[in-house]
Amino acid sequence: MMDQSSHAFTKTSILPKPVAPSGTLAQYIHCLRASFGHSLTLMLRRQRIIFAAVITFLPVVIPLAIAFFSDSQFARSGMDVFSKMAGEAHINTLAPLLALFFATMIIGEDVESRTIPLMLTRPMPRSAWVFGRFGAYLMVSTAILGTSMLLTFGASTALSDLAFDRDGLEKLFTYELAMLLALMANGALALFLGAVTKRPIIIGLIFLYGWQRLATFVPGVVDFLTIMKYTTEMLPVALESTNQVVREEILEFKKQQYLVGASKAAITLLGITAVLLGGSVVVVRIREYATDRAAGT
Amino acid sequence: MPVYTRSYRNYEGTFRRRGRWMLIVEQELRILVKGKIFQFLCLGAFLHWLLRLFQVVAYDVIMQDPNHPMAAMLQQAKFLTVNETAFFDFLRIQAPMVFLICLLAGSGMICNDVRNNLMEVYFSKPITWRDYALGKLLSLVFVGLGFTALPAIVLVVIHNLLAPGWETLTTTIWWPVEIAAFSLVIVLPFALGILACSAVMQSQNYAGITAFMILVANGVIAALLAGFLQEENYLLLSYPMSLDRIGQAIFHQPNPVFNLGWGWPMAFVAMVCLLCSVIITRVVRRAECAP
Amino acid sequence: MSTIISAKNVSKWFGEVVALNDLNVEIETGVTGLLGANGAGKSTFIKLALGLYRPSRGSVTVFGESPRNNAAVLRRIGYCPELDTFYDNMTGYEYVYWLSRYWGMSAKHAQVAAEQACDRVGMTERMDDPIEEYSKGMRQRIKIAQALSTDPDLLFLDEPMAGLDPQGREEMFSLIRELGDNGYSVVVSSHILYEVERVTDNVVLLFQGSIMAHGKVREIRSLIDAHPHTIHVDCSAPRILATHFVQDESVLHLDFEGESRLVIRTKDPNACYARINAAALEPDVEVTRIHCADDSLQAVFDYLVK
Repeated sequence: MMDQSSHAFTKTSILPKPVAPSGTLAQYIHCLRASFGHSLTLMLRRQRIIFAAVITFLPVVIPLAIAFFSDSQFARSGMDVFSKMAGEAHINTLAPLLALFFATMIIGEDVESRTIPLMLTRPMPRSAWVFGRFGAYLMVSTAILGTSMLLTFGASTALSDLAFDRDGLEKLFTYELAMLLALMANGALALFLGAVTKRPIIIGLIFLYGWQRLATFVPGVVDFLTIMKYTTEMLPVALESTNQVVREEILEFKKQQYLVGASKAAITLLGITAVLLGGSVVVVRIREYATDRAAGT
Repeated sequence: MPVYTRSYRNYEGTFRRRGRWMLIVEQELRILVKGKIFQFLCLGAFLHWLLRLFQVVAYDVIMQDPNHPMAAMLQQAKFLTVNETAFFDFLRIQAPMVFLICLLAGSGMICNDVRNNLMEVYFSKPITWRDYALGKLLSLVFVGLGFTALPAIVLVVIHNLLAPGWETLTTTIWWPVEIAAFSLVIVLPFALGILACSAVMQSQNYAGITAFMILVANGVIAALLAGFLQEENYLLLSYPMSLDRIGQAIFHQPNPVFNLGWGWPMAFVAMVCLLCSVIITRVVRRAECAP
Repeated sequence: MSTIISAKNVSKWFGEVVALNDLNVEIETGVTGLLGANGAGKSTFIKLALGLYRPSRGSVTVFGESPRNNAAVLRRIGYCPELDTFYDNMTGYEYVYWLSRYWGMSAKHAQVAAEQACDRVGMTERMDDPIEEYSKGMRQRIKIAQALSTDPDLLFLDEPMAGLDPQGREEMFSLIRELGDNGYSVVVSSHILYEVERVTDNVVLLFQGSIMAHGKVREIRSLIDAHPHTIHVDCSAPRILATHFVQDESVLHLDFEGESRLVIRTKDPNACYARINAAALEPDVEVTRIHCADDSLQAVFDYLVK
C-alpha cells in the first residue's frame, strides 16, 4: 500500500484552505453538532411538524371535555384521567407514532431524496451522523410530546384529586421520564428500520401496532419481545390499578403476567436504545446506499 | 405500405375514448405485485382465508351427517357456524390487512409521481385528470376488494356447493351483495384517505405515517372520550368503529353497544370520502393545469 | 505525476448485473475524463472511488488508502453527483453551508467557505433563494459549489455538463481547466467525447464495465481515423454521384440502397465530404441528406470492440 504522504500536492488553492478542528474528539463533536443542527433545522422548517404537533396535542382536550361536558365529572379523579391519558395515549400510542413519523426518516429521508451519497462522502464518523440526527429527533419529539403531557396534566387539574403540588409533580415527572424512554427506544427502533429497509413505515406499523398488541395476548413471555411491555412497566398505574380480582382473572383466563419492575424496565429500554442505535451505525457503515445502482436496472 | 414524407410518424391507431383509467390501474397493479412486502401481506390474508375455508368445509361436511361424532360439538360452538356473522367477522379481520396494503400501494401513488415529474408525462398524453385520479383510486379499490369481497364471495359459493339442496342458496342469496357492500365501505374510504395523504405530502413514507397517525389519533380520542364521558356513542367518532357499525347494519348483526343507528356513521364515512375526494381532485387538477 | 486512484482487478456486480468487470486502471494527478456510453460503469467506478460501494472483487485505493468509511481520504475528496440531490426548503447557500459543516468546519468557517464557493461558481446573487426556484444550470453550479467549498485535492464531477446551456458549458469547461491548471485533480465523467476533449487530453474509456482504452484523446482519434467510416448520402442520382468516388483510393466500398441512397465506406472521411460537396453543386445530383454513423462515441466503442 502506498504511503499517503507520497500523494502530497503542489496545488494552488482557488478557495481558502478549510480548517478542520484538530484532535479526534473535537472533530467528532463538530460533526455531531453539524448533524444535530442540520437535522433540527430541517425538522423545524417543515410544515409536517405542525401536523404532528396537532395530533400530539389532541389528548389535552380530553380532560377539559370531561371537566366541562361530563355529567359525572366529580366522580372522575384528575389523577386517574391523567394517568390513563399519559399511559395509553402519550406513552403507548403517541410516542411510537412520533418515532415512526420522525425517526424512520432520519436516514430514510436521505435515501428517499438521494442525498445520502453526499452524506457518506463527508469525512465524518458515521456514528456522529447517526447520533446527531437521533438527538435532533429526540429533542423535537420530547418537546412536542412532553409539552402535550404537561398541558394534559394542567388540564386534568381542573378535575378533583390532582394539583400542581409535590405529589402531582412527582407523578408528572415519572410519566415524563417514561415518555422520554419510550421515545428513545421506539425512536431507535424506527431509526434502525429506516437504516435497514426501504419501507420502514409499513414494517414499523406491523411491529409497533401489530406485533406489540398481539404479543400482550399471547401466553407466556412473548411480550418481553416488545417495547410496550417495558414502557408500561415504567408506569405506576400499571401496578396500582390492577386489583387482585382483575389480576386473578387475567391469570386464569388470559395469560400469566410476568412483571419486571420500573427500574429494570428503564434499564431495558436504555439497553434497547443502545443496541438499536449501535445496530444502525453498523448498518450505515456496511450498507451500500447509493440509489442508482447499475445502469439499466 | 404507406410512403412517409417525414422522418416521424403520427400514431395511426384510434385513440381509446373510454376506459383510459384502466391503463393506470394496470400499471399500478403491475408495480405492486412485484413488491416483497405485498407478497408477504398477501400470504397473511391468504392464511386467514384458508382458515375460513377450513371452517366452511368442516361445518358443511359435518353438519350434513347428524351421526358424525363432532356434530353435537359443532352445534355448541356457535363461532364455527357459517352464517352472516362469520362473513362479517371475516371482513372485519381483513380490514387491517386492507389498510396496510392500501398504505403500501397508495402512499406513494401521487407524491412519487409529483416528485419524479411523472404528472407532466401523464398529462402530456391523452389522459385527463379524471382518468388519472380514477385509475389510481380504482387500482387500490380492486386490490382491496381482492382481499375482502372476492375471497368472501368464493367462500359463499363453496358453502353453497357443499350444502345439500337449494335451501342454503335461498338463505345466502343476498350474502354476496352484503359482502360486496361492506367490502366497498371498508376499501373505498381507506383508498381515498391514503390517496389524499399521498396528494398532500411530498414523501411516500410521510404520507403513509400521516394516514396512520390520523387513524390512530382518531381511535384513541374516541375511545378515551367514550370512556371518560361514559357515553358509548362517542366511540362512533372512531373511524374503524363507524365502519363496524355500518357492517353490523348490513349483516343484520345485533348491536349491544350503540343507541345510534347506522345513518350517522354512514354520514361520517361519506363526509371523509368527500373531503378526501376534494383534496385529491384539487392536487391532481393543479398538476394538470400547471404551466 | 503520481497515481491518485488505483483500481486492481476490480469487479462490481449488483445481483446478476455486472457493472464493472475486472478493471485495472491507475489514474494520475491532473484532469482525467471518464468516457463511456450510458451503463458503461462510469458512475459505479466513481462511487467505488468515493467509498460508496465496496468492490465485489479486487481493490480500489485513493491516495493509497481504501476510501470506504475513511475520513482521512474523504477529507481530500469533493463530489458533484450526477443527480439533483437537494434537501427541501433550503437555499443554495444553506446547502453549501451545511455540507461544509459536515466536512468538519466550524460554523464561522463554513459561512465563509459557503459564500466564497457560491461566489466562485457565480451564484452569489441567487444563493439566498430556495433551491426549488433554481434552473437546471443553477442547480448544477450549486452542486459544484458544495464540492469546491472544502477545497479538495481530488474532485469527482459526474456528468457536470448535463443540462447546462452553451454558456454554462463554457463556464464549466473553463472552471475545470482552471482547477487542472492550479494542480487540482479532477475526474470528469461524460458520454460525450467532445466535452471531455475540451477539458483534458487524458481519458479512460469504459465499455460495458471494462476498460476499452486509457490514454490521450488524440491516440483514440487516430484509432478512429484509421478505421473506415461509413457515410450515407441521400440524393436524386446516386449512380452519378458514385462516379466521383470510383477513382478515389481512400474509398473502399460503394453500395446503393434503393433508388436514392449511396453508401460510401472510406478511410479518409474529410476528403470524402469535400467530394460530396463538390458533387452537390452539379445540377443532376440533388443531395438531400448526408449522415455519418461513425461520429458518435458509440462508434468508437464499436471499433474498439470489433
